[in-house]
Amino acid sequence: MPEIIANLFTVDVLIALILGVFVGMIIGILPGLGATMAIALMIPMTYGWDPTASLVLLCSIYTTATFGGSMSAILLCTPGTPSSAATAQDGYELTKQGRGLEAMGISTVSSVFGGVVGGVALLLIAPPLAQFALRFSSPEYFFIALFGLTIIGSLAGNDPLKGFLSGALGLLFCCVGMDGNTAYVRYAFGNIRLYSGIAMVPMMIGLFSVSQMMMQAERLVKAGAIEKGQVLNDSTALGTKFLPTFKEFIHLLPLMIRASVLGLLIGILPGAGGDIGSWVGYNEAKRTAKDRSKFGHGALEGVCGSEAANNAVCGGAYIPLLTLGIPGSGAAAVLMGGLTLHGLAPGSTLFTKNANIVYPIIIGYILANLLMAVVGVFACRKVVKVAAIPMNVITPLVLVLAVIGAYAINISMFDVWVMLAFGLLGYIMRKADFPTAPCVLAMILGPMAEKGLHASLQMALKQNIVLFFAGRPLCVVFFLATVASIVIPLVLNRRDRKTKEGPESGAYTAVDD
Amino acid sequence: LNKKQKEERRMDKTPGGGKVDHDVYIGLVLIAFGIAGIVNAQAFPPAAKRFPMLACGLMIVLSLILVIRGLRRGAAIRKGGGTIARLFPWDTAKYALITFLMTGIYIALVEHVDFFVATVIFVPAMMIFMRVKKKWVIVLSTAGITFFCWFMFVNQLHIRMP
Repeated sequence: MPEIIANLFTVDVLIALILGVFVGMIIGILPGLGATMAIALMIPMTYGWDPTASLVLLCSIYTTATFGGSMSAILLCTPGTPSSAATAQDGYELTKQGRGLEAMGISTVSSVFGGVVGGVALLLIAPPLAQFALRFSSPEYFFIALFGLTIIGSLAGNDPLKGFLSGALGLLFCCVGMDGNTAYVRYAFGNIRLYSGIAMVPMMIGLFSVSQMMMQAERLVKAGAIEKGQVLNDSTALGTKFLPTFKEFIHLLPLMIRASVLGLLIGILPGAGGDIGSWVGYNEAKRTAKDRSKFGHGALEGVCGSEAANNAVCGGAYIPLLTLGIPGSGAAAVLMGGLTLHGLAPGSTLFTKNANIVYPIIIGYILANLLMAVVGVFACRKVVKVAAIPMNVITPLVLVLAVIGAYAINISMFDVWVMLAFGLLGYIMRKADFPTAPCVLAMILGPMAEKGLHASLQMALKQNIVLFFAGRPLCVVFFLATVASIVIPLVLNRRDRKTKEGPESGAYTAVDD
Repeated sequence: LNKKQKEERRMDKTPGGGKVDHDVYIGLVLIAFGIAGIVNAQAFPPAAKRFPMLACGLMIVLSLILVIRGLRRGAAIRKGGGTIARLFPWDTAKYALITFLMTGIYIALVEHVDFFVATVIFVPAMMIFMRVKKKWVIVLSTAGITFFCWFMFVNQLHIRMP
């Protein structure tokens, strides 16, 4: 223990910790630059560093970049990282209502809570949880993806049909490019740049940011603000309340715990990263909320659920990485490169032979989350001033950041055009009341579902596929959870409608654009 | 009537006129999209076409429901003597379209000229279009975002710019 403490509290490690928190937060705020890219960019910097300091830096970047992404999602409806897309749903609505600072406060508290839960779990229960994750095979992943897709129902707002259609569109988009199972190129139409599929980040920037800026241009016209050069949002309109009160914290605590545990479990599963975790956390918030109608229109619980989950994913992703050498997310895969670079082999020896290195890294990760709270409190108050800039000034700046963000992820101008195309699609979808979030969710989960289904069919051989799935207890559990996730909201909605609105409420009472 | 009231009156008139719900058109486009997907998938090997066929099939079924619902909705509104609001009233949609076109021109300039030159042209042009009146705001914003992009992406992250 004294050796671990001595290794942790060195000048090098503390500098790495602080640097990691700042770098991660800045890169997280920038649209298009996620934790994976940040870690990849910083690894070469750590060549000559001490292994503990290097890995503390990289681990700190992972969690703080995830948190940083929420700031641009809340203020500009531009998710800084894919895992912040769920946060944008209600975060930006809160900003529009003049509660941006409050949303950022909730985001800070939830992110820190989720991050610390992930870190403590990593410290205490890493080996047994990693063993459990080994029981998951392709059939189980197929059902996990299916279960994840049922979230669409709750993302669809008042019109589940349009939500599911948006999801179907996302499933079709994820088929573009080389099939992961057969290596056959689908729907590329001879364009070599589409062989690797539609890039997720440019697509998200287009659907969320560019379409939002197009809507803003319309909104400014409707409000007559363009003619007047009017400031639509000022700093006072963002509110002065930042951190939640003790009472509010206690109210949100059960949700934070549930979302963190879910995020942790998702982080442990290889291949399911913060992007999936945040949607699951968001869905959990919506599923357990008393008033679900607030979701999509500015629910603090939505921000809380997604942020607690996506930061807990970071800690969870380290568990299979450190114990089994299986990265739980893209960022963890890059981090694995950092481990091997410094001569650390994942596995049981890491916790015995290299305990003096790995435990300071884990404790350093927990400290990074706590430091993130301190930096977040100051950063949010400064960053929130972005929203004080008039929308007609901010729109061109966001478009510039969207272009460079879409370009920087793969250094590809083709991705920028993809972003623009999805911007137009997002605009049309918004105008026609099609939610854009299910499309993104389906694109995230689609490849996992397809891979799982393909491998399951191969594993089942000549056996009936239904009987094959029925013979796997975890598949049955996830199948029941999927059915429950579809049926329960439908039953509850029907009951709510009957009790609240009465029998006269028709489906076709109003049409507007 | 002042200018604003005239504008409001003009915009009030724009939604009128439609007889068919826009969901019908959207549903038909999506059905066509799904059919094209299925036709295209016929050339794929069996294992590669399973999932796209599933996605296209799902989209066609859901789109059919959307079309039927839209037709019913249109009929109900017509029965009540009403008209259906236009999805893209030109008065407002043109601003979104111009924003889209200007962004497209900006991307083309980035690709064929230079990112920083394109940004120095795009930001002031877009701000003038968005009726930003103060010149110092335009100059400062352009200089600020250009410097930020250079510092962060070129200087710090060493990204090769287009």
